Amino acid sequence: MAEVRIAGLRKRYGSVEAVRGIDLDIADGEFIVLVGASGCGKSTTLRMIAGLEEISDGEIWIGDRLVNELPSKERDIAMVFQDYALYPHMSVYDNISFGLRYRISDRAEIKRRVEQAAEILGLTPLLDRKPRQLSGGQRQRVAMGRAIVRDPLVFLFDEPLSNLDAKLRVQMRTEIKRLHNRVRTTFVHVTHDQVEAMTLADRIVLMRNGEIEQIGTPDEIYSTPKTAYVASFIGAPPMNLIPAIVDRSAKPMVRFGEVSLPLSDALSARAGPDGRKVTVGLRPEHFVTLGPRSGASASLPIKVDVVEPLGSDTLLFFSLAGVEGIARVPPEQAVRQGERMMLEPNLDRIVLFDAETGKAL
Amino acid sequence: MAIAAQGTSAGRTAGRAGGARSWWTLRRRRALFLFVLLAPSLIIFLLYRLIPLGWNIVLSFEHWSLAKPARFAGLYHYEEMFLYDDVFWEALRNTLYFMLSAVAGIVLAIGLAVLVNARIRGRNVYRTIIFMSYPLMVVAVGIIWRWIYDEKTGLINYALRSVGLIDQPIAFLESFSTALLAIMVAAVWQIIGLYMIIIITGMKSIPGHLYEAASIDGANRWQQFYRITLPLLRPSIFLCLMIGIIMSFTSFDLVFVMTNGGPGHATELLITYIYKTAFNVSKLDYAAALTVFTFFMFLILALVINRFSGGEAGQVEISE
Repeated sequence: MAEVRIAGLRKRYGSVEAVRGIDLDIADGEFIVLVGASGCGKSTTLRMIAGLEEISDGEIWIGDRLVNELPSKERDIAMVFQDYALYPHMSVYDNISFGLRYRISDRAEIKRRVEQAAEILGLTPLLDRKPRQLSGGQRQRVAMGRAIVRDPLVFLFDEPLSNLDAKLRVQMRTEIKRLHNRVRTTFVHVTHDQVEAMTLADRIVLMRNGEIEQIGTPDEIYSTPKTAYVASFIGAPPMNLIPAIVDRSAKPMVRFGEVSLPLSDALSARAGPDGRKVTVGLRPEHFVTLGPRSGASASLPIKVDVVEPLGSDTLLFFSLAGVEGIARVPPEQAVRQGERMMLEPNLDRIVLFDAETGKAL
Repeated sequence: MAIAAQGTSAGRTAGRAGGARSWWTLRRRRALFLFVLLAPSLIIFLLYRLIPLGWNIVLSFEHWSLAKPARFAGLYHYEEMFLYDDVFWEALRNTLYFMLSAVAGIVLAIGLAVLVNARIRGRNVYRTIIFMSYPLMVVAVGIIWRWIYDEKTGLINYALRSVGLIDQPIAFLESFSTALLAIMVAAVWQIIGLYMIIIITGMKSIPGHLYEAASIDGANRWQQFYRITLPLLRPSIFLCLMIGIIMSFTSFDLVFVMTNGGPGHATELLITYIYKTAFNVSKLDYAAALTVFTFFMFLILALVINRFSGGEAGQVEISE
């Protein structure tokens, strides 16, 4: 086990800078998830940790060793690839033992380790099969088996669940979590799926355009996003981001056209001067539906455009201040398409972002 | 009663229509359509392959010449071939020896493929240069190499004498010990470009992630080549081997132009011997027996190779 320290890491491809000087300290045994949209630099970062990409600038430390110049095999890492990277001509046993053959000469020890890994991952009956005879989930488990037999300092996962169907993805997600609980080694996992990031990570590193947008626990990232981008990326459905103006003509408020909402004292202190353009962030679950003519002062009049019942809850789509909003309400609440109603937001959960910079206020 | 009769008649009509439909099924129509599409090739195959082969087999059991009517000969020609014909055995030995050029060519082609597949400047130029020998006419290749081997004006003798390695020129194509080897070198030179392209295509179909996984697993370059590249190139290698063996059976023009089977029968292959037997000494019946033997030997070799390749010679797709 080992901590991983990344300092000022950069990757350039000619004139294009894919990773722009990131700093990240990963604790020993921590499960870190690098998440972001395609092209944000998360996979490049992982590949630089693995030694599969040269580092243009910066440092990577694994434990107390600077690994910048070390080849992959000397970094004591194991990696699970998106397309599994199983050797198609070898049996499951040979795939799992491949890495051990270059490290351990004792065949009995290799056999013991492979059988132990196969037992953990439920692969024992499949050891003689070739990869093409396995399902997607089984292949993924073999790839994980190949990693765990090595007992490496760091596990690297490069979008390992992307090729699986939705049901299997959930199942394998749990298996990865279970594996981490069992081995308690440092895990660095790359994904573009925010649900995967939220469910797996001890800490999430959200990347954008080659830079880190925010680092935090899933709860921190979800509840207190540092930027509007983070707010829009994390959460399904994402946070509602409604353009508004700070109005201090009477008591502190934010105004969306004809409608306004009062600001708490804490938010008012950060909201800035009268007339400032802001973006109001509200999670879909932070609304309560009221009748069509509610007398509540902090409520928004809406017309429901679309109703999406999900079983566990119902999503209501509406327009507000020219943008589409979503509210998540309990399923027992019977709402019809086209219905007019008042939505009462939880004012304590409002997040304000500067309209120009997108940074949280 | 009338109504009942009417009903029965209508039922019969419907039954007949239903019967016609069930016979003329979509599957049958598709089969017919495929057969119509394949028919031209099948007819050509029948006319120029199967019928001559059948006729050859019949002819090999007969005494036959252009001047006399055919007589049944039983195993006479085969007996002569296996028991009394030394030239046949020499041609067979040379043909099998010539097959080794396929192995040598494949080994060289793998080396070249690895080199020109590396990230080097101008690799496409190198590939093109190496491949350029393949589309040349075999007769042209034979003439080029006759000049290269020439005792007086040849490039090799000139080079060897220039660096002082030899005093007397070597008659490569006139010597019993070097003539066959010299032709094999020319054959490899011509075919190596094709082998290389087949091997490169096989290499390109190996996913790069396998090498990345192997390097993380601790395998060095040689171990990656030996444990991943070579096993995954098996279909390509067997395809090359099959092509090489076909060539060793059909390299008539190269031998004909370079040595015409000589000196003596030192470069005689089965194919040149068949030709000479049929058209130089007009023993068409005996040539037919030689052809039948060659055909079945080649068939068995092809089946063995295909079995060793797992029935996937030429396959480039990696089942992942």
